[in-house]
Amino acid sequence: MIEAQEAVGPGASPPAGRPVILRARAAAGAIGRSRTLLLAALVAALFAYMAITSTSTFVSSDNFAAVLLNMAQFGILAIGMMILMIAGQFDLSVGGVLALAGVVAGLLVQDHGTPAAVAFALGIAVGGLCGLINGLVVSRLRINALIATLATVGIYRGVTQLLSGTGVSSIGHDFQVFGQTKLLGLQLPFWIMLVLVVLAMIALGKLKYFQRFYYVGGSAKAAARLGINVEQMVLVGFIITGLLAGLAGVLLASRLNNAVITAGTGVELQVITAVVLGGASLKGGVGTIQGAILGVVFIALVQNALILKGVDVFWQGIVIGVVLLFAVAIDMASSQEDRE
Amino acid sequence: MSDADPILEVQDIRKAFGGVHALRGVSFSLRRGEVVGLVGDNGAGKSTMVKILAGSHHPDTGRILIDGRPVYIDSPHRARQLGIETVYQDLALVETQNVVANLFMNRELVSTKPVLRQLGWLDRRRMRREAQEVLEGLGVRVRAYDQPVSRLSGGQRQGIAVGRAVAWGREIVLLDEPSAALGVEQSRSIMDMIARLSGNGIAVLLISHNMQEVLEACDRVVVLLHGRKAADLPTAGLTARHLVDLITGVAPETHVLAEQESELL
Repeated sequence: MIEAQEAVGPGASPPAGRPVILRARAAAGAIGRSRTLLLAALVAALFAYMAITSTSTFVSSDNFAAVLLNMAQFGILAIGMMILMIAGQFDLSVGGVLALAGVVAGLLVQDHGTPAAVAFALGIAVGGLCGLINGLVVSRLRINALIATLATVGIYRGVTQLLSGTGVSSIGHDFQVFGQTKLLGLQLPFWIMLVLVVLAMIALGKLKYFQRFYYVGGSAKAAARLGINVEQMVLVGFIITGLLAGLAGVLLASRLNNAVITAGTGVELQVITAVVLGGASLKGGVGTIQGAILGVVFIALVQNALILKGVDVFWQGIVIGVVLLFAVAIDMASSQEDRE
Repeated sequence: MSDADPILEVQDIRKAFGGVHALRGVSFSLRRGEVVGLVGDNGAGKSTMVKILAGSHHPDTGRILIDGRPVYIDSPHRARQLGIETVYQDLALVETQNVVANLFMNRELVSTKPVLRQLGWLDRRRMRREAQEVLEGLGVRVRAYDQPVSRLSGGQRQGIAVGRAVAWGREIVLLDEPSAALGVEQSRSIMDMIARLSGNGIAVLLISHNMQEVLEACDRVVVLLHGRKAADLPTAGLTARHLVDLITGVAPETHVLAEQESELL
């Protein structure tokens, strides 16, 4: 008989009299396990703080609409990044893909008279193509995702500038509908994000195919030995991320009626921070869409708070960088406890 | 098809890595319900043979027949399709996933309802129930089915890896050093599981360094030496000492001696 496990379920308390160090580790692990809960508490606390200290500016429908719109772009990117990080990869090129997709769609409408809807779809397809390239470089050439996407983002930004040195302004009335149409007082990008979040939650939580991202990220070796095509899952993860970055890019260009070549600069830092904060691990294998979105809400609130409090915009990068380090530290503490 | 017909036949398998000949023409067979030990020193070709049968490596030449039909095992996926399950030395578990997910990895049960089945909608309740049945049937007691396997004991993790092979292995189960990291009692339970597999008509190939274990669990033993088959003989009457001699190549004629000695004894 193989020994019995005493503890039942995650809620079981550790037996009394365990050495202090083990209890401390267990506590760190518990924080890790309930990272989503901790994050939810942080979001609530930040929300309450802002509501009390900046009531007039924070608690207004205009401000909420602005926060939600800001969320839309990060949310769409965070879905892809979460799937990719679950699969044990990540993508630093999302900002560059976003800009390229917007510029391609803008040029198609303005210079080639392409119908707005077709240009919109082709912009997303460009994102998918960039994702495919990232995925092939990582899965076939076996180049580390960090280096691979650092290199490709340089290429995508370069191509963007070659296509259009100054960006595309006043793209056209037809093209604006995707980003500017309002539904229940909120612009379309927010609703698109919401639909995608629900779809991604269902996919990752309930569908057999998407379950494989967890296996591949948890242990690529084990997944391969059990017959899962690891390369294919990595490739699919990058393509999804690319398509979503493309979508974010065309939505931004549509909302601004303007494709900016520097769009999405630094967005990868914010998205990766949100996703790690929301429970993804740099080691892969864990994370949920719910967590990612909570991370996005937190980052959007932080940005909003900094603006409303009149903090210099340059502080944003510093604050988000510190939050990322904090989130990674928690991740490492909890996964260390897990893997012993 | 009678039980005497081999379920697995390996014919003249050769495999080289660069200039290194890992296998130089190895043939053997397994019958249904038979437990065969595959032994040899480090570098004798055991693990290469296991990897070929599990679909991770492909032989340069040679044939593999299952149930008399030649098969081409070009991937781990194909091996599993053919009814070959492997328990790897490192267990091949995903630490971050729970017991049920590890048991059903890449063989998840999906809903039987029309649209949901097409989507591959997971039936977690049924998987949880069947996981419990499989593990309890094997005497592996895990009450924390929802915990990541990283939190389980070595014995429980082993039980899950073996349980997975037992649950899905329709024809052949390969066990690569199953008790290397286990205590005495846990090794005992592995031996029970092997007996159970054999009782169900499944052929078991056991790779082990533990001679006592091989002699106890196996009906027959295949000895590899420098990529060739040095011996293929029943374990009855064989001693650990003889087996070690065969493995190290000290006494190539040992099986003859073994027979003579057992007669003398």
